[in-house]
Amino acid sequence: MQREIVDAARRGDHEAFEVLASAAGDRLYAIATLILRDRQRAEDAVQEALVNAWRELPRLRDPDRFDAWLRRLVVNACADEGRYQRRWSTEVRMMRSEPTTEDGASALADRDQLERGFSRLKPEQRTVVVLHFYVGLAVPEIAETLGIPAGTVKSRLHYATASLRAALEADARGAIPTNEHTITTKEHTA
Amino acid sequence: MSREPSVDERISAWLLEEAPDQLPARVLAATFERTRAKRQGRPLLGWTSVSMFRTTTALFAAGAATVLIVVAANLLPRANPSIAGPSPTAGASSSASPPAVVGPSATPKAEVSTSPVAQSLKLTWSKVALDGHSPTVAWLGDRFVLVDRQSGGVRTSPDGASWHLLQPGDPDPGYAELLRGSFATWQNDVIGWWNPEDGPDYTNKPPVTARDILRIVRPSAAPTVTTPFKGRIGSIGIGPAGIVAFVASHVDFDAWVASKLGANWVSHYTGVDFDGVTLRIGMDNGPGLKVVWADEGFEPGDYLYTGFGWYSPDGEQWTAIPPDLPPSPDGGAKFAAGFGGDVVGVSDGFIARGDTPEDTCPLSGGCGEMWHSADGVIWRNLGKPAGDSSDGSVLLPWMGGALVTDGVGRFDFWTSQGHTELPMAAEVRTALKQPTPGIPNGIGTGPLGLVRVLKDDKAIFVTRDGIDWDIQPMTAAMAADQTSFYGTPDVVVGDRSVLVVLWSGTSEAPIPSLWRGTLEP
Repeated sequence: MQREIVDAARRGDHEAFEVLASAAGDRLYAIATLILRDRQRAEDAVQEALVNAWRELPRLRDPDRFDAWLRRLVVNACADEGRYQRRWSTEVRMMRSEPTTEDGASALADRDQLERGFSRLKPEQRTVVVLHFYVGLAVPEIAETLGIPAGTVKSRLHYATASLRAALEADARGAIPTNEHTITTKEHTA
Repeated sequence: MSREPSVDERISAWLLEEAPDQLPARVLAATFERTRAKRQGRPLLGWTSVSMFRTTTALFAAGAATVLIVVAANLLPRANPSIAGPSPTAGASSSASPPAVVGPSATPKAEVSTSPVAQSLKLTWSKVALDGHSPTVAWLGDRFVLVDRQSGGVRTSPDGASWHLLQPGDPDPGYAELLRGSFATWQNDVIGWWNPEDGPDYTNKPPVTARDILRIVRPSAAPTVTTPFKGRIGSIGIGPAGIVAFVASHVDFDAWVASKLGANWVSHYTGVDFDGVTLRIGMDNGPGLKVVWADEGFEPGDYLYTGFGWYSPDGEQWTAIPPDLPPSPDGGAKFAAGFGGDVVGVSDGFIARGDTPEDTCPLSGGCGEMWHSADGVIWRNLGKPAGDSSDGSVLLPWMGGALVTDGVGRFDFWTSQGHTELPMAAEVRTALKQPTPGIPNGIGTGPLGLVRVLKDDKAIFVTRDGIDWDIQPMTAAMAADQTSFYGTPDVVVGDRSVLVVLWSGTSEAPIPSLWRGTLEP
């Protein structure tokens, strides 16, 4: 069914394209928001990706690849957003809702730690985390989406995951540190 | 009893929770307002309409007479390559300057030449039986080497047609290890690298990853060297001037701070500042730390995002490339090797595409500017690669210089003297351009020339010299073997034939097939 709609959109059918875009919009917005950590810029990225999709759709050779192709466009649009910004802000925090799970306190702690760890990641690391853990892509699929070697994907994923793990473990270990630390072999900066 | 969720599951759950549910309707409305006012691009021409297109020497002379690269395939003696490069100020099509000819150890000199007599570029393809499902193929000096990474079986062939299964006692410089991971070659020199931690589980690593292992075969500097390196290697260039390695090691600072100060300190560090010798860790709850980097067993390249490189004449003694070089006299950017950068050996040193410290690498691949170094340590800015995007772009050694492609149809040839675009008819490039950049396609360079396999277009580009091109369709049988969306063809170019590994199946269960192309007489 989707293939027929994609075919129609490729031939210039606006309504068909709008059906496709409407169906994909929420998913693309989620990906862009997670990568960019900013809903306004995510909206811009999704809009750019969809406009590009409309313009380039006749060049899409295989309609069955539409979803993967659209995902690639939105990731590229996020990269463009990052370039315009020069550096991606690490200070921007997401709006949070109250926990809804039974184990609300634990989830909240996870959230705080993960949010802190995630906001420290570089945008390219966030991208692989989102594509792997949210979209569910395997390493070769991420490599194909981003146009980078699989080894680079692994490397970014490893670093990002280790950072997030460390953030979670830091929370699990408990006590709040004092202002005195125990390293004696290192010189304090002024 | 419920199981404690794994870290991966907690990350997934958090992302699901963080993701917004709905794209605001106004965004779609604004989008559709734009798309309704915008015409679509033209559909691609099928390859059949441009098949067998060839920029003949005559066409080249008439329409692109000012293009500067003039190279004859038969001017490529293996022991002493002599290549033609562009004028120092060469543009793609608008200079009358003669080309420069670069020798392996001499200052490039200008020389005018004419295009060689056109030779057939038509490849005839046949399928080669393939054992195993994890093939790595390379052209090493004078032979194809085929290694199955699962079984460790090694076969060699001078032409890709007749294969010899390596037996105990056969001369073997350690092919299986050389081709176990990544590798780079220059004539008969080969350097391979891999990491003992590489494997399916890449998420449970210590703060500092295991060091890469290098295996180097340089016939003039026998014996073979196998040695741990100083980190994780991003790219290696090997050439007559030696070896340059860019590293991309990553220290997990959260884990490292936790190991030194305790886990609770992780949330208090505010950032790190690295000056090449010491690391300063800022804390929001007290004075920061100043750490002598080497005392912790770290190498400079273990610090992410500054980039770092090493030079060695022999693969054993390594000299650090100074990071954050001052701006070049021509006002170019600073050079940072390492993350996002790549390097190849050329006949008069090395050419690299390096990131700039002020920039972050774009999400979709390579970045930065082009650089040349005669000694592997001091680098000179050559300018930016052409095009507004490097998505899907690759840097390859070719004819003593470096070839940069945009992932589709543009090919720029770089030497220490500058660069020029190889002549490709614009209409061919347009017709074959794929929907978006970033789709890897197979490409290989070697003594026979340059071969590019466009998997979506089911087309194959062939050129011996960058001047005469042939574009031919894959045969139906080849096209049937390249159906995997996620499989990129591997292209290996020898002196008489070309081997291509195509991929079908799924990303979880890829199926390789091996094809051999030979030039028609």
